[in-house]
Amino acid sequence: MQPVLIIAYGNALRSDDGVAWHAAELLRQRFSSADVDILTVHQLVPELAERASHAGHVIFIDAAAHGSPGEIFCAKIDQNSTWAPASHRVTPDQIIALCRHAYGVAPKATVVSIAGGCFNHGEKLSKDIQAELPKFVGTVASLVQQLIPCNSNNRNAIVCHSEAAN
Amino acid sequence: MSKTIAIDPVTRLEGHGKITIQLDDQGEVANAHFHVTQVRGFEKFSEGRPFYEMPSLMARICGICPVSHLIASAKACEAIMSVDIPYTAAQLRRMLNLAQMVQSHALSFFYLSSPDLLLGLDSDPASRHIFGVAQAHPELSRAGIGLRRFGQHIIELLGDKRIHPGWVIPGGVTEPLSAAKRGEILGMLPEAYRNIALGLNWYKQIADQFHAEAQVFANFPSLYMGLLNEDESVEFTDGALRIIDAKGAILENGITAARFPEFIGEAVEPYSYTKFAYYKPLGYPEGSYRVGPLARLNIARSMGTPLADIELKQFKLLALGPVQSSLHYHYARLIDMLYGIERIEEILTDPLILDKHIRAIAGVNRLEGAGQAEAPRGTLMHNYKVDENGLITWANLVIATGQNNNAMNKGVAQAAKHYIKGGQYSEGILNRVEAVVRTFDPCLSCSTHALGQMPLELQLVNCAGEVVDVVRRG
Repeated sequence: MQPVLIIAYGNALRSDDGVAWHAAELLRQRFSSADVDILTVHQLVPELAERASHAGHVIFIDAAAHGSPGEIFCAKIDQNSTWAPASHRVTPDQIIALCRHAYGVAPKATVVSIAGGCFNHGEKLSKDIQAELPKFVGTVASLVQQLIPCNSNNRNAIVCHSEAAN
Repeated sequence: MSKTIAIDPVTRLEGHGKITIQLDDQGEVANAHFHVTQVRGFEKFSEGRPFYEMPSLMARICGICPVSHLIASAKACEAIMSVDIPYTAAQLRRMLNLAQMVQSHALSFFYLSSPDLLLGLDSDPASRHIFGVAQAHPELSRAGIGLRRFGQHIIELLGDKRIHPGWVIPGGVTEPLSAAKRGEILGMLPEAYRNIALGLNWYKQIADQFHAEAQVFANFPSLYMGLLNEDESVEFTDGALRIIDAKGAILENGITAARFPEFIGEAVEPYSYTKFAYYKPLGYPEGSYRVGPLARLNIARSMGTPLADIELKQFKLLALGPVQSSLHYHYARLIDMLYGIERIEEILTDPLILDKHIRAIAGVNRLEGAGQAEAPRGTLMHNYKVDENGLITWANLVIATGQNNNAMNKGVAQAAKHYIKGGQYSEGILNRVEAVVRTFDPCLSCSTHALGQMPLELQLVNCAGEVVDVVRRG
């Protein structure tokens, strides 16, 4: 089991919606793949539950459509959450719920997101989000650092706001 | 007063469609239609593009079966180039196409249809999705997730990404298979075999519970069409077309891609943007036929792989001639998947599979070309014309969903007439009408897919076209 799985998701062709892809690139430079498994995907799909079920802690990173551009949100996922009827999208809660029901384990999970300012077509981040990218990456990295050395002892030290991300 | 019931959108399909059910003055079903309400226009906007761009452009039609479009398109381009691609390239493409079939069928059976089969057609729609399946039968959901991941991971290994891989090009593929990737795929096979065995065994145990549905789920005689090898075994990527009639007699055999326009025509109806394909000698609609898993198994003498052949024998016991009920698409789909896993294993153990000769290079040598392949949900044809510079002047795509269109419409009408009496209907009845369409696994040329319940609106419309009642869910 790898201690940490980061699932970075969003549409890399819609400007700030792809911020997680940019963050993932920087996080890969900071952490060894032996400690942290980093995935970049366009959207969450049920198959991710299998991968997530092997992780000690899953960190979902994404762009948020609410908040002031650059504002960072961090929210723990309730491991006992149930799912609302799904349609065209899957949420982090549903991935964890699927882990619990299909694989019998529910990894602890956190969503870290940053409010985007521009979701138009484009592969580049807006200036505001580009400027805040190091801070966003730093937030995720500090969370990871708490989890790597002593996974179980450090989970409770994670500081999260109660706001729902994304 | 006559009324119309509208199921809009139909849930758990690839794309957006709706069903309307026309009631007469007594509240009995007069007719029913399945409407595809989106317009894409790929054929038109490809005009003027260089032919060698077509595979990657056409793959964007769909996020579920882009590989089928890649392959049919590349083959049409190769007909324009007048080349045969290297053996290894053909084998690698075959593996890619089979991997896509497995992941697409896993989506259709386990994610979209197993909720009906496991939880019941009358079960709470709030739980009738893959997450509900995970709660009720974790092992089954794991098998489905595993098979989808199996197919997608092979596509990713070969084509570098799961959706819209650019690896298939006119003339072959861009990169040979490495020994490391070959080893990785071989390592995934045991789990894939376990998962499909679980799915097949489970389905065969519960299939009898749906005997009543089998009688009215598009259960009528029709023609069937698909690709076969010369030894009459199932083929997904090469081969030639066979068409059989409702009694199993062969009407046409060995139809190559270049000749399909001689036999296949396309009609239009005012209620759908999807065309209605038909067998020209019988005309429209008499020449309507079915494609996809049910048709493939009906036209084939064998699957060509040991385990799938055992299943095919059992499948053929369902009827004296061709199996007619579309409910049995589900069983056929599972057999397809088993075949796909076996064939992938065969291809990987081919001594030439790591060969580096994977591409033929040529320019424009013909001004028209056609290609055909089996998409998960049925036969797919691409037909292009180019000018001397290789720019597309005309394109026509005959997609599987269009070829099943008439059967889906007849099936919807059959189920609606059976279940709706005196204008009375329940959610479970409407779900049965939708489930008929789901058996065909139509892909409405959409790049997204539904995982669970989508909003559903029923409208009662009077003769004057006025909406007299609306029921919404979701």
